[in-house]
Amino acid sequence: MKPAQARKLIGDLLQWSDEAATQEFHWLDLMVRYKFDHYQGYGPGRRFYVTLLRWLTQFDPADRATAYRLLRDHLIFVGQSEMHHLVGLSGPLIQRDMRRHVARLLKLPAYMVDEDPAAQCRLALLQERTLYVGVSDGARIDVFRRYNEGSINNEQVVPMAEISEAKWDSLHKKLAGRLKAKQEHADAEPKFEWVCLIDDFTGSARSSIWFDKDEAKWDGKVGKFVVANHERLASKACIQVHHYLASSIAKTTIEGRIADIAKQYPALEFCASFAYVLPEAIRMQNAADPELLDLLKRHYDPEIAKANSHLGEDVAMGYNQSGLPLVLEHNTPNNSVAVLWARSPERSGDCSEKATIEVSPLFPRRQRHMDVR
Amino acid sequence: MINPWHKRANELIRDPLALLPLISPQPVRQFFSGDSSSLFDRFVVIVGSPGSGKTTLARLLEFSTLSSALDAHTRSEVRPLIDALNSAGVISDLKPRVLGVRLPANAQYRAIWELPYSEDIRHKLLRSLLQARAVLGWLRQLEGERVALNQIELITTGTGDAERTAIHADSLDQFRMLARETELRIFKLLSALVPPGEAELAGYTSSVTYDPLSALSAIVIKDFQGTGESIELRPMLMIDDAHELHASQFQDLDLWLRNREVQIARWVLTRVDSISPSEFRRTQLVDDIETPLPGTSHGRDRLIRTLLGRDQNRQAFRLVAADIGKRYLAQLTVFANKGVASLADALSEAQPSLTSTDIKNLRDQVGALSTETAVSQSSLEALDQVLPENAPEDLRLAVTRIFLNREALRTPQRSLFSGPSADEQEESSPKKVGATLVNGAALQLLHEFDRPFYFGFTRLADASNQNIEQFISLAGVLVDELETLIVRSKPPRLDARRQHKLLTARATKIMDEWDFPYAPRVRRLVDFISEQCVEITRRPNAPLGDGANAFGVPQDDLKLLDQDTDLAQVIHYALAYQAIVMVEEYSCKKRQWCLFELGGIPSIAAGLTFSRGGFVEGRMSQLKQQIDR
Repeated sequence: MKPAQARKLIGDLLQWSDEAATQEFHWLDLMVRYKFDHYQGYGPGRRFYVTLLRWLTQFDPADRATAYRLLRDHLIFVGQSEMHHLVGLSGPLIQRDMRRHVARLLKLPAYMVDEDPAAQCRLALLQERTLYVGVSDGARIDVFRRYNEGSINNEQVVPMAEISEAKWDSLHKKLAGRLKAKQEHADAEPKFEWVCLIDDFTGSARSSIWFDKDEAKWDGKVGKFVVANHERLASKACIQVHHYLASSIAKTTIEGRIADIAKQYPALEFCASFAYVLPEAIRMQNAADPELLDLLKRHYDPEIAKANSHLGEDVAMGYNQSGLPLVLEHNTPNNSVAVLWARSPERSGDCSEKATIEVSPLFPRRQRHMDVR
Repeated sequence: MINPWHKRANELIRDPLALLPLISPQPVRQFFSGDSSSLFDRFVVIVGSPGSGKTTLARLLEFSTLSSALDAHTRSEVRPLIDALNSAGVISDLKPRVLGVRLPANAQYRAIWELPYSEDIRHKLLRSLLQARAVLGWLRQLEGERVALNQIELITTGTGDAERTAIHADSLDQFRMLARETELRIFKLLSALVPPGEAELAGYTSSVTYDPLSALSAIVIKDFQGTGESIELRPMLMIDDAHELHASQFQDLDLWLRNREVQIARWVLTRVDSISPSEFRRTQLVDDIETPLPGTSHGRDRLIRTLLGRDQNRQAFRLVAADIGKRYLAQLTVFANKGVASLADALSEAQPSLTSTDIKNLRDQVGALSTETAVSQSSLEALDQVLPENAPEDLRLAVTRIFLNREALRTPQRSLFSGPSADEQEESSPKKVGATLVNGAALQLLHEFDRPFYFGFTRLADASNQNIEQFISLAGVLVDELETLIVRSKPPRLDARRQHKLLTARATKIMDEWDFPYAPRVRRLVDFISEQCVEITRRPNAPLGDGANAFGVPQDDLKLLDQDTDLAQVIHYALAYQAIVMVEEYSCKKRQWCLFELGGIPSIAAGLTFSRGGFVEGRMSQLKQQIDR
């Protein structure tokens, strides 16, 4: 569809005056070109404008302007360049935590680490004995490596959290080779003493780390990694859980859970870091717009939760009631409000299953977890 | 592509062929009018406010742009530009005659000032870097047009072989190599974490003394474009945005480029900020001025050209604005597809009308006044006859009201108990009501009933202070609105009310965003002048017709500017950024006045006329009081 035609139809649907239309067309054009059309959940020939038209049409005419406010006033769209910027910020953040760690070990103030020769040597050893692990395909570990070229060796980077025995052997062998090559580190034990588990985003911390009471063990990407590999690491090794982007709830949860896991694994240390934490104020529950809040709850198909039982009973405000108005260029997190990403499941031909409401998303989410039905 | 109505920054358009359709020939013709040869044989300072077209002019004179224009000389949108350049002597016989290069005075040149050397050395480094980049720029421009180095011959001034040898004028390879080395050495100095001490600069001697400008007089291209013919080009250096330089650097440039021994064309393009308030004031009075500095001849060694413009004849800029409007609209496919080529056609000039309640209110006022002044019905009818035919009722009533108020002032007080005397019954019956009074009436309706005043292409052009960027900035909001109408399949035509609303909102926003030096004090000055002008514009008898938009002080009061540098600075920046326009030696009531006329933007924001000459009488001390408040 030609942008001009789409704009005309959108203006008509939202019953904009010419004055309002001029302002909104300008904003939409900019955002569509810069961000929205690059959303990777769209298929060929059906990009933002067409999706927006369909999305708006599903609301009652009286609700359309309210729905548009979600897009105009609340939506946070993190494009690829912004995410890469967060990746770029991550290297220095991780290095800063390492400096603090060395300072603690040598009982120095952190600012002395770059001045003190012994601290510099210890820091160099720590950096050499560091492993960077991408715990999901969103970790952009290739981008992370390129941003840190020169300070991180290729052999210190692993793109998957599940590391095979053979891979561990290879990693240890190469670490031993690197340590031997440097006279001052030749005697160091060839084991990793800092493992940085990297992921792109966490909205609730659920997929990152949680304690499975039924199985009585730690789960999630971080939990699984610790359970499987804690014996392979050096004594007093530190596990750093790093996210490029996190919600404020997720930050608090992760910090609490790593404090808990640390109690169970006293031989290890844990720390969490984030390139950016979305403030609490962005959650839709905190938006001073009761009309919109009501619409988000009202325009929701309960079948969505039934079809995705792992999400819980009601995901109108997103998984774990996170209430995020967030879209990432490669996918929309399920922590975001459902009206952004959720589609009503296909019904069978049975009339008894006739839906009371059928919803279609503005930024369709590609599901990672599919319930076997 | 960049919407030219949203962001007019011609330096962002790299391809000359994309730039050419956006350049209107009118301002080029205007700039080169008169004896244009003097613009190339001596030092020229071109002064203009932001958006007055300095960079566009410099880009146009670059060799690559001229060549592209000549290549495209058959295209209808380029042909008028070719004619203008031909008249200016920049091209002739469809061949370029100047080899121009534009050097934006970016932070690197300013950084030379921060080096820890004596002022003399720093100035020499600046001169050398500019010359090295000019030489490299000329050769790059030529190579860009497929001229090989072996086709180029350098003509030197002939004062001696030493200069020719020093710049390697006989070997183009070495000539370029020397320029590259000079640039690199100075660049290394600038980028050094700790620059070498002055005593260690011996290794840089050649860089410090690099001076091809005084040696070169022309560049000959043999076998130009394979025609077998040779052409002689006058090298030209254009230093753009020179206000970015330190004041001392600017002064040294001025001294250096005034040198009449230099035979290449040399222009410095700057905002008003970098020339002194007194110099700027003189440029307002006369176009060509020269201020000899110690060491320069008292001859005509410098020309200051202003791009600000305040022609009495506004018709010329209206034509420029119309032409630019056409060129810019053609860039937008939405308009091109709809066949909307002219902005003037899309801006309705139809008079708006007041609501029936407001008209009744106005009618009652006129009725009461006519009873009070006892003006006869026949006089009122006679007045109605001389009003413009197409004037709507509200405007007719407003003019009548002014006429009656004037009549009321003319009629002497009479006794409560006596009727009018015979001589009092003689009423003035106007022969004709001029456009000024009609505009005055319309302005009164604007202030009283919010009746739109700023609509139609002519007023849009007049509001632009003869500044292209200001025109585009104002017109841009109208174009956006028109685009919406086209997108929504509505007729692409804006009514008076919409135009007025958009323009006043835009003008207020522009003023809110003023962030130039002394902007808060300039705003106070503008607010004071505006208040005074609004008061006189709204007076019931409209003593100045369409009111005032200026504050006039006796010419002698200007002496205060020489004594009070603070006041001079505030007024200087108000002039530089076109918040006000200064009109000196304006004759009125057998006296000489200096008028501080509000620019187009403040005039719109305050609801004042664009007509010139109407002013509120005052004193310089009042302005000072406001600025110091």
